[in-house]
Amino acid sequence: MLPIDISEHGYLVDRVIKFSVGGGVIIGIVSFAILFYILWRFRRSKNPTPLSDVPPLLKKVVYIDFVMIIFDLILLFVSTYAWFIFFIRPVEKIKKEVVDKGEKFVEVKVIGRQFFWTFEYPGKDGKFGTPDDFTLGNVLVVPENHYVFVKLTAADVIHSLFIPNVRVKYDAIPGKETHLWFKPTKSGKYEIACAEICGEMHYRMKAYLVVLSEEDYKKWIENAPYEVSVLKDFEEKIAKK
Amino acid sequence: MSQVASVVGHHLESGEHEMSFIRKYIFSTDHKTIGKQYLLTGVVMAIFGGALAIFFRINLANPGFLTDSQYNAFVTYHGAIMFFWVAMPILLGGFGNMLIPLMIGARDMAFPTLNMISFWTFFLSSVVLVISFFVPGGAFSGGWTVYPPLSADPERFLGANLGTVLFLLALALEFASMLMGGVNFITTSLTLRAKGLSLMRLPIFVWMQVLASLLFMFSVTPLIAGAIMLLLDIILGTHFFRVEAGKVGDPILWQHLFWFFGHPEVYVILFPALGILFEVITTFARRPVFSYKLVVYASIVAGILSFLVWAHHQFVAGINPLSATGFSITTVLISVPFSMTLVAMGLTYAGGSIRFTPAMLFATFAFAMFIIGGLTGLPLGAVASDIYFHDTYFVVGHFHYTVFTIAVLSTIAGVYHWFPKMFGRRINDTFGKIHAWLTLIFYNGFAFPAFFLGMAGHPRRYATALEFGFLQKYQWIHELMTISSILLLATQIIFLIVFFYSIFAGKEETEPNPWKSTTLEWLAPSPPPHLNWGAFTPVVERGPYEYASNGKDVDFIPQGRLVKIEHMQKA
Repeated sequence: MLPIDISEHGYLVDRVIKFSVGGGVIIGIVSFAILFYILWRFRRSKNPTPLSDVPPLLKKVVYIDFVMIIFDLILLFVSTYAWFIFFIRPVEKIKKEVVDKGEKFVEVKVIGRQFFWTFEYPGKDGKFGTPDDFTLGNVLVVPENHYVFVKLTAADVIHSLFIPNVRVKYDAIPGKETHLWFKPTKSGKYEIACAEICGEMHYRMKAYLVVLSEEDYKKWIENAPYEVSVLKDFEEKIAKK
Repeated sequence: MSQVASVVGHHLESGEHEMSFIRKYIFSTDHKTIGKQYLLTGVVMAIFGGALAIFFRINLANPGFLTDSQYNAFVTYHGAIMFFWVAMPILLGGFGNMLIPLMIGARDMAFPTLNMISFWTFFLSSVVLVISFFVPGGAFSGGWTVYPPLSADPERFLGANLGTVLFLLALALEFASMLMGGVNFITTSLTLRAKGLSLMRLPIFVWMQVLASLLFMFSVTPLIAGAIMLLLDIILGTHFFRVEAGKVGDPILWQHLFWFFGHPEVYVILFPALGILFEVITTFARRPVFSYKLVVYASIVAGILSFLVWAHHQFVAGINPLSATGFSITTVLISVPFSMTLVAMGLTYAGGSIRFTPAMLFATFAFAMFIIGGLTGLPLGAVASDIYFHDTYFVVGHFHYTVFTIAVLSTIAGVYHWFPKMFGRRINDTFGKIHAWLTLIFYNGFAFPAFFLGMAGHPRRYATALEFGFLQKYQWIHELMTISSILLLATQIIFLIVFFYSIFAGKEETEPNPWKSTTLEWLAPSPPPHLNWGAFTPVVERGPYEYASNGKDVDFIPQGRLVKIEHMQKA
């Protein structure tokens, strides 16, 4: 039921989800089976007088505690690893690594507002604070196979930027700047939601993540923010699919 | 002892204790009456909270039924009411008051007048809360977690200034009331125990109540300070949590204060519920608790750990990612003491002779649902999967499998179990069994699908899912959940009618110990008179769960026996 993952690192989160939910399902089924057996075997009509001790075989059920400990430790290991990749490493360090590896990245500032998102782009030159900066409402346009570094804040109350398809979520907090990043690998149009209650129209705080191929993105950024034809063509392409 | 004896002596001489109606039923200091008052108030609030849930569930199945701000207000009040005005008053105020003195062989609470004040403070808080829902300007609608700046800044959501202030005031009164109750529970359990009732002979229910009270007292103080700061922000325009250009408060500070209280708070209601389950399960399985000491120690460890896990509610809320890792470790590890407790609970059934009365059915269902509630906590406690699951319906599913199990299934198990003791009458058994099965089915019908919505990435507190393309295809799940929740509430309303009918016209139960249970409360007459034990006093000779143990050829041995007070004085 998970929405399709279009990011390079989303699998790290998915792995933890699959392990924790799957492990929980298995432990749950085993526990329920044992419970049903006990309830059935020791019902009053079958066993009118209680035994003076728990049958030795059933005492082994306490091993579930050890299973839990081992399960917990493995879970913590995979989980902390993914968390380390996503959030523990400082963004500056990740950026440096990306540059060193010769990979490309874009930056964008995101501001949560009641009840819409604004996305500030650095423009053609890729630098903030220059005249070609521009802002778009409710649409985040990024190129395929580029790292996207997001600086996140809010103008009024707390919001939370949630992009299910790249498996990231982080709160946008007024008066504070938070960071997240992802690397989309598949072009398309995806939805962005707000995941922290922010007032009346919280449920309508929708934005779009538009992932363009590198050429499309170049075409778009050349004349952005006025160049909407690229986005329109792109929408038509998606509609045809 | 002589003082008590003289009081009791006086009581006996004057024949049936004469009290005015007001002293007996309204401003009563009798722990049993206060317990019933808490129970009744909690039930009324539960109907209110449940009805709110039905309204917003209908909106989810059928968008446009409520306005957006109504939807948010209903969700907010549903959460707050079920936690603070249903689970806490019923499990602590109701069952705690009713049973602690009886289980430890005391005549009343250590501070009966404080106990009365505690209830009436709680009653006042309920009244203020209900008023706050209907004030002009609208009810508070910022979520039961009251996150600022949304909650601190009336301009940020329509109106609701007065509603918010009254909401916080009601919370503060409720906390004050529960603090008074907690002082009473701890003092009573430590000082008024019957002769021979050492700590390790206490019924698990009493242990759990004491632990819950301790957790509450330690955790609530920072939140009361936080609530005052938030009120100052709202009324005087200070900047503790509010953010304005040039004056920067810290909204995350509130989250820390709230969840430092909020997580132990979950165990404040969980522990008494586990206590009820252990009492019911031992009685109807005819087996002692599998490793009493393990359960007590594991609960103490879980209680201590519960103070070290609060930030798992804030993994993606802008706290230091490194400290998030630490909180993730403590959170995942807290599953170990709880898995020990649940394994001990499961093995309490093993080897028994299990009789499925309505109380036992509810307790067994509660136990099974706790397994689901516990296991679904792990994907949320593991920090990486929580990036995805945070604030989605997965959380909604998880806390309905824990809190609903606590506040409804365990509570109803307790009601069926102690009903004969409380009222000297019985609830019809066949009705009880049907009630249990219907509750289980409808409960899972509304709570389990939430996990699927969570997997699909459905954020919680959305008035409708239809705005988002990736959620539209799951609208049928919302419809299923809504139908189940309506049927669930209908079942409980029928139960309440039967409950009140049985109080006045149920089959009379003159046997003081109808379930052949071991603990002290079953030695008292049903219902116990004022000061509980009349001319007798209980003396404890053994542990609380002597069922079928040590190969003795008897079904059960009561924990103690009643001794005439004159004999006590000679001895």
